[in-house]
Amino acid sequence: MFRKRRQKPRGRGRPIRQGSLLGDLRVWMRRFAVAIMVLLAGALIAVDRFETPAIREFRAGVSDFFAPLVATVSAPFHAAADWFDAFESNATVRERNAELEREIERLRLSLHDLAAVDEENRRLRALVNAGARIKGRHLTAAVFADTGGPYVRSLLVGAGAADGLRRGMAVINADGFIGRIVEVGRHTSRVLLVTDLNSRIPVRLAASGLTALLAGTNGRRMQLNYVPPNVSISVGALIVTSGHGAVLPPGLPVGRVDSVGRDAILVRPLVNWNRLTFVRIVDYRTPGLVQDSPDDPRQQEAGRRTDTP
Amino acid sequence: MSEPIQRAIDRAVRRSFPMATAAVASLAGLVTVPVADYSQIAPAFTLIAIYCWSVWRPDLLPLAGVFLIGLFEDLLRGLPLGLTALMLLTAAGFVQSQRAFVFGRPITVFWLVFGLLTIVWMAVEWMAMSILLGQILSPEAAAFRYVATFGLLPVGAAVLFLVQRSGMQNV
Repeated sequence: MFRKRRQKPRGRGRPIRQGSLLGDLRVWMRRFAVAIMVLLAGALIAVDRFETPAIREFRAGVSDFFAPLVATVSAPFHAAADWFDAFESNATVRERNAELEREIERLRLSLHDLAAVDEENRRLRALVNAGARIKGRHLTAAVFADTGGPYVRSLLVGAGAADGLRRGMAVINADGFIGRIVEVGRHTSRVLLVTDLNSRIPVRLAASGLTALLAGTNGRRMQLNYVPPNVSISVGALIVTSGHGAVLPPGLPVGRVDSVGRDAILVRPLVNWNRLTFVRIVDYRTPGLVQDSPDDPRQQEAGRRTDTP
Repeated sequence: MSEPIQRAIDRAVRRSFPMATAAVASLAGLVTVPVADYSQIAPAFTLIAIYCWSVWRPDLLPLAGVFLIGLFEDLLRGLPLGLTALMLLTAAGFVQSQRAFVFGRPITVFWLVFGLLTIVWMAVEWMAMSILLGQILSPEAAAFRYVATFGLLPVGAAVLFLVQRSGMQNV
């Protein structure tokens, strides 16, 4: 099927006369170049382990440059998905409509309760002199590329240092916590997803207030670590960010306990990863507690322009 | 512009097709496809392109170019810098040195050799990432990715074959 018309195999480059000095030299030069590239790759792998600011910045620059191209290539796939969605049957649409109306009614009722709870919370915080809750500034960004794979869970989003983004900021959507910004370019940033193996998030159980560390597994579920022994945790319990370390805002919903085993407590994220087209980035800082990363002057400059209410 | 210059430019553009399609394949791997867990099982498009051109036109696929495409992919995907570059370089070097065994043979041989190459690729990638991340990773995603990559070869090869037939005659 894929047989070429010209059956004569083509070699690499110009033909080399066997035995000639020039030919031998070219063969050795080629081998030498390959050896250099292999050594260079090995050195880069070793250097990359140290996560130097220069490499981070270089990565961010490359992402900045190619992100619009990736977004353009992705566009037809999203258009196709929207097209398939439009083919939902009348019955399905009616059913979804009824479901959404029920949801709106439920949320309206919750809103009344929420106002009362908010007022009560404000009074109690004033009573214990806790000060006002820091809400942070929000910024919406488009997801440019799913840069992950089987071994890395990350996204490329269309906002960067020019928009005031810094490393460590929380990324959320309507469902809950998605991940943290780990690399900031001028106009794009890389988000390390909460499910990535390198992700560690201080969390608490919303109901009991029990704190723990949520670790990504590169799988669909995350693992709850450092849970004190003999503590009862029920399946379905809501996990939220604890705010410890003053890097992530407290109270962001992250997931629900999926299984409680002898060896591990597994948590399923709340976010639906399949239709992640826009995310919100939370600029949360407790003044005086968190310092800007000293490795990127652009981030510092942008950070000075960001006001945290 | 004189005709010889136009012809030279046209020839240069056509000769750059293998590198250009490999770069596009590298970008295609980053596309956000709204399918469940797609990113974990996304086929290794770059490997398909590198394999096909290494067999068909190794003269137009310099190893330095392959190395740069690997670096480009590492930078964009957030993978350890140099890992994909090293693996693509090794794969291209191996296929180019053994191409006489595959070139001009039936598609089944072409496909089976790619299957063997992909098994080694996935295994090495899994081992390297397990070492770099400091723990034994689940091979499940690698297995699914292998199936997707192996299954997609005829489609990818057909597209590249069309590129070769339509735009790379006599270059």
